[in-house]
Amino acid sequence: MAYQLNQVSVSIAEREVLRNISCTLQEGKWISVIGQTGAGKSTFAKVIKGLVPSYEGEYILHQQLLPGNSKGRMKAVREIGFVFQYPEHQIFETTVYKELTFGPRMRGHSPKRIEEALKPVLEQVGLSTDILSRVPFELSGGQRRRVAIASVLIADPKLLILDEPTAGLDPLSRRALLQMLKEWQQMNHRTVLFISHQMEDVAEYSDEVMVFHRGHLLGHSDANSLFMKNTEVLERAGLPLPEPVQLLRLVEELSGRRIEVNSCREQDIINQVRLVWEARSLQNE
Amino acid sequence: MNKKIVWGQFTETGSLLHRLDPRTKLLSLLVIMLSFELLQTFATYMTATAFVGMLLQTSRIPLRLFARGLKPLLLILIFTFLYHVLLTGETVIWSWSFIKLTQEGLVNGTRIVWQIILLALLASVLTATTKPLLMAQGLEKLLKPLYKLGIPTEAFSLMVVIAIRFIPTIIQELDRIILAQQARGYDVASVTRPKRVFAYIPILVPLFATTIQRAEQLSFAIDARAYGTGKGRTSYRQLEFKRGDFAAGGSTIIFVLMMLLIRIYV
Repeated sequence: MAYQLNQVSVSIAEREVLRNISCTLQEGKWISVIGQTGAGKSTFAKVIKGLVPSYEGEYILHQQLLPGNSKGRMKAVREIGFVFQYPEHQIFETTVYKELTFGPRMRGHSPKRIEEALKPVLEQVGLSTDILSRVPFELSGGQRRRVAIASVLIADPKLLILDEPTAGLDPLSRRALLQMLKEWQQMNHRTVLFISHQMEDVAEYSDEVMVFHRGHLLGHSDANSLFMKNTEVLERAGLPLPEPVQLLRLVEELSGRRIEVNSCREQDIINQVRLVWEARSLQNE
Repeated sequence: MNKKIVWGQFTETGSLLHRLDPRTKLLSLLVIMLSFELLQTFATYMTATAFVGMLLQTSRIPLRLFARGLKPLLLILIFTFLYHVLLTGETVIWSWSFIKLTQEGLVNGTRIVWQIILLALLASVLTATTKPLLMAQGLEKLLKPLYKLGIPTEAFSLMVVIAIRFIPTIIQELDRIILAQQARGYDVASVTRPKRVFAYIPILVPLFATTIQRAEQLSFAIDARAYGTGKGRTSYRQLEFKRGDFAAGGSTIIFVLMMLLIRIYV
């Protein structure tokens, strides 16, 4: 069970924005999509969600070709959730309750099923049930974003696409939101397609990373090998290393010795550097 | 979504019409439109059509773009024509049950439709050959005399410029909101008929909310740049009448005179 593209190309206004993309998104993985502005990341995500009506190539969803007609396509991609940039801009209902239940109501779910889904979702995004009767436009920016994301999670998507979900948030809220989404993904064994410009977030949460450059897919590999070993792909795409990895390289350069770290996560790098440092201090003593 | 908006979209070809001063184009258009009041005989229609045809040719914009611009008018044209043909006039030339086709109706219907098409083509020549911002600048200059009467023409023209500038941004926002709601299972077609009236709320409410928010930010930004204090705004690009403008103005006057003469003598 997976999402597969075969030689997919997309042109918008006679300009090719995606060229011959072939890839497979395995279930249960957090897959990040990185690339400079205009590299084709968002278009790629829209193709996966079936929001791009015409493209060349094949989109195979769970071993079946995606239907060409709009109705069939929308039905087939129903299981895919999409959180756009600034998702709070899609809020329109008069209460948080109505806003959260909009999607399930549109899909014709029974009131009982909606009620059952509501509480766990609120818990997951860290909102209390008191908020349900409030007017969404009166909430704080961070709360509104949580409501908007909860309104997508309530449909229990098998694949969740996040298009820069943390844009405009302060560093602490950003971490908290991503941590919350990671927990949701792992707990429910869901697939996440995460578009971001923040290399640190990508290194921290991803299982796999796709690198886009001018409409091409330059590389698709696991996060550790991309950031720690095969960094030339990043160079070709004009992307920087995550800050912890940059610091690690600096420490290596200054100390004149290689520090073996297999993980690109911040805490793993810190731990390894500390270990090496302590071992060296012991030696010196 | 963006592809649907072709009506009079600016298309650069670098033609003579593109290079004209926007004031020349605005004034000439006004005069030509007024001169369409003289349209009556077949000869006047043919003269006006030839003139508009010449303008389209001079713009060097493919005719199919103008034709595509007329498409949204098709319903109005058909309705106007049928209204005249079936409901006005006395000399019946064909009838079936209560439907009567009259000679006067046929003539009037053709005339009105012809006139609407000519006006629409003229308007799209203006917008297709003039950048929106230049047009606003031209408008401001033309309205300047009213400033002395205490009418805030500068604020008005700034308003027009901003409105034009934000059309693409708002369309982009609209696209994004539609996609976001679709991704949550929103589908207008699935809404049952009595509720169809409210079907666009999930799109319009967020669109208004973000647009108002953006407008508020813009007004702060304009204030922060000290708009409205001190002397009026100046323009980096100064409008200037050139030889071509006099030629265009002259052609307009010749056209109007020709229409007058044909109306009187032919």
